[in-house]
Amino acid sequence: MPLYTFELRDGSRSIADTVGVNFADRDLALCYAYEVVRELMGCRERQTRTWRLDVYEDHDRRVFEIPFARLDETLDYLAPHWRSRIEDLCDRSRALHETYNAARITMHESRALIARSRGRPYLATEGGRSIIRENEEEDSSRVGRVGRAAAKI
Amino acid sequence: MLGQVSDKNAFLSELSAAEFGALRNHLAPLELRVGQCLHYLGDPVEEVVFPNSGLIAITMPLRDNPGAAAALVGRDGIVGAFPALATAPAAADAVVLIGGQASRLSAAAFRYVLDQNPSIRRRVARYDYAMIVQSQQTALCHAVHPVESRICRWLLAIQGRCAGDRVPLTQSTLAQMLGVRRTTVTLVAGRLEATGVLKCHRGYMQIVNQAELERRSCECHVLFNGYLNKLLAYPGETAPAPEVRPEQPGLRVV
Repeated sequence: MPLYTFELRDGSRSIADTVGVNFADRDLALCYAYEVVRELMGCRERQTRTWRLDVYEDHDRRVFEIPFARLDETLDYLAPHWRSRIEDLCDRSRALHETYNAARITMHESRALIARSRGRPYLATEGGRSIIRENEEEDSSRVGRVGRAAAKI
Repeated sequence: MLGQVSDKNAFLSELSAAEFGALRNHLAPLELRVGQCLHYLGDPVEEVVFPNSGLIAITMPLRDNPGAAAALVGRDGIVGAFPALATAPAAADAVVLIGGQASRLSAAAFRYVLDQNPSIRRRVARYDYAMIVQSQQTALCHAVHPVESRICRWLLAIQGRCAGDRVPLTQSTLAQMLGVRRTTVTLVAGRLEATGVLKCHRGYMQIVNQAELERRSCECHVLFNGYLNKLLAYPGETAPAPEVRPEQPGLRVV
């Protein structure tokens, strides 16, 4: 059975459930992801409306992107075209925050690298982890994410 | 029945020497093992358990899933007191989440001791009432508070009963207690870890920033603890019998 893992994107960071859950097919994984979104969103719809839950199959392919606004029942009173606009706005807002945070981290990292090149000790961390990219994989991953987020704005 | 009985349970600790003496001969030690079910929903309660350490969840099971926890009992409470006293079937499962030590006595002995000692009976009633209040607060919490606040609240509640900054529960167990998916707990724990509140390890979570965890928790934790402190500190003397006034002619209350 395929393993489905999840990644929560809230604009400031992405949090992953790398343990995942095995499901027989994608439909079951989607139902499960919908329930996770509802549980995360419940009683704080306004604060979480811009979030998104991504579902990956076998740690490899992203098979679903679930914007929280899509499942927000407090928006059900809106006419479809207004709802669509709100959902799009939430998506762009999250992308903007992601771009801003990626740029902020890049600036922080740049300062650290400059300081190090001058022989000065400099610790650059975010959420308890070093943000200085040690290899090309991390480099291209961040560049790709910034690019995709910027394209949405 | 004599045995190695610890008096670290809060209820047993606050009994007077005479009151504890009435119970002591009936108490026996009990080891609490993780996963052990002290009583099941609908079954008669054979024993009353006074935990000295560890943690028991009073859970409401459903047909298709484990349900959710309505209350937690550690060394601050008693398991099985109310149904044993009422000779009623258990209203929930009592599952050991964190192992420890406890004292136990049979339901029959418990009823006998309480019948002979009204003061102990009144104390037990308070502890039962505290359990009811906790269940009410949990029901309200599940209905109106977001999952992140609820998780913070449960972590504080567990930590308060276990001491130290470690919460020796898996995310899967925490998810069962809250009645949510394990992924939900993992993602919330990840967010709390990213903001420096928690550190997640295999098999346990470590609270790094207690103050921030309290800030992110819902108000239920503070409300329940405040009420519990008030309840247990409430003067327990028997109220004097109400004064009976002789009926006054011409004055009749309709």
